[in-house]
Amino acid sequence: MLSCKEKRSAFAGVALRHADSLYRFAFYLTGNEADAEDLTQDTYHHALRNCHQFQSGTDMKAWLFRIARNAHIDRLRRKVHEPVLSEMEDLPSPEKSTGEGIDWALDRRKGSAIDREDVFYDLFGDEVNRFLSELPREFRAALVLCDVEELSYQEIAQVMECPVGTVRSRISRARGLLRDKLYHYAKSLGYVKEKTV
Amino acid sequence: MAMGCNEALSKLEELVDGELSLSEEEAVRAHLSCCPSCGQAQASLARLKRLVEEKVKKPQAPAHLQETILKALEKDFETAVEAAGVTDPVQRARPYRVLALAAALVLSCLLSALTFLYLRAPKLSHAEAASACAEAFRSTIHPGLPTDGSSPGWKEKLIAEIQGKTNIRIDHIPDIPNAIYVGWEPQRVRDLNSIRIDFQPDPTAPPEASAQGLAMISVFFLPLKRMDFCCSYLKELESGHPCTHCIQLKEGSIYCLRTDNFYLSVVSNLEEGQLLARHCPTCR
Repeated sequence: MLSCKEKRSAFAGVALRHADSLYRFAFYLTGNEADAEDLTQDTYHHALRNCHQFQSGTDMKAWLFRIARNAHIDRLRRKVHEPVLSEMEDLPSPEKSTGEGIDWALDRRKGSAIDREDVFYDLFGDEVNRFLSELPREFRAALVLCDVEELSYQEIAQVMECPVGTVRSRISRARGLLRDKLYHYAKSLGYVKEKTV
Repeated sequence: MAMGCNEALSKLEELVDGELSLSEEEAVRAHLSCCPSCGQAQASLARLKRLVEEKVKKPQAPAHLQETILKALEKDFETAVEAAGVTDPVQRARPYRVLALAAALVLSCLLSALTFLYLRAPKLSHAEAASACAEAFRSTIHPGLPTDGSSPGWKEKLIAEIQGKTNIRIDHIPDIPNAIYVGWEPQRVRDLNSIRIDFQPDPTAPPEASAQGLAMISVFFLPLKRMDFCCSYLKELESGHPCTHCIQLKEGSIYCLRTDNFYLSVVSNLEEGQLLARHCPTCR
């Protein structure tokens, strides 16, 4: 039988394997390395003190990410009393969107309006990070968890404490907005071809 | 009934994210193969996903971060030791107070250092951790896959999953005929860290080809360096191995003369001499 301390040490050993992923996620949430480091430390501190709450049979990575996300939201609320989710709810839904770029981005039947999209994407560097950082927080988190951390919709739903349908919607809208930004950027560089109606 | 454009387009997101069931994916792909505009939309979405995967900055955790977290653990431990010291009657005895305090401090530092070293040691499997947190390593790969090569890509997925969850890199998983995949978990083998992958004999295989009617086939993978290996094993070299670079040792371990690496692939519960891997991953 393991003592409490041994269990904690063992738990720390396992939990620390996710340190890189957790730090990355913290970085995407906070937007800078110093805050990401603080948030990662806070997350482990909380996780190790509450390791008894970890439910056997559930995904530890998702559990740690959920702690990080909640800790981040708490920090924001303490700092600026910011209504964290309101910005997302205020956004126009894709179906009601009327902007030129958004229309293009969301009307998938028209395909891509960017000429030689693959070549254009290869030219990207920091622009993608900038556009990503401009997305609403919850959209950005869902997209990063899906595309960078390769979590399933179910796991993302655990992290974000929302239904799988909401995850699907957030990822879809995040991609729509990202494509909208790419479209405008491509247009400013003359990479946009004539739209067909 | 064939899938229409609207339905196919509504499932594109899930298609590129690998969230569709096999039957749904087949239906969507069937539509995409005969609808150029939907196919173009799918290609565009896949390019966007790849753009995010490849171009989004992936910062590495600073090297000192794990140490900082471990030190915080140590601090907790020290606090506990100090709290215990206060109630110690020896410390309250005035003539020995300074001496006792110094001794407690030395002991505390020693214990902290030991704890720190213990936690820092590269313990890949953590036998206790594996039992306490076995579920953390649960496989997300659907059990029941045939392992004879008829399920392409399962080995790569399994290798990536094991590496992602344990940092143990398995170079090669052999084909195991007439068996189906069950699951995996970290395990200690002779004080060394290994991965155990379990398979079951395929019940649909003909009796003469089944894996000797065994309940379970366990394959252990243990990447080793020469120094980790017991020298007595070197005396047990077998001659006549078909690969000029690799020498087959007892219990299925392979020593590669070319790369100077040991590679252990122990197959338990199979008949003696019935080995699955005869070459190291480099020479295979």
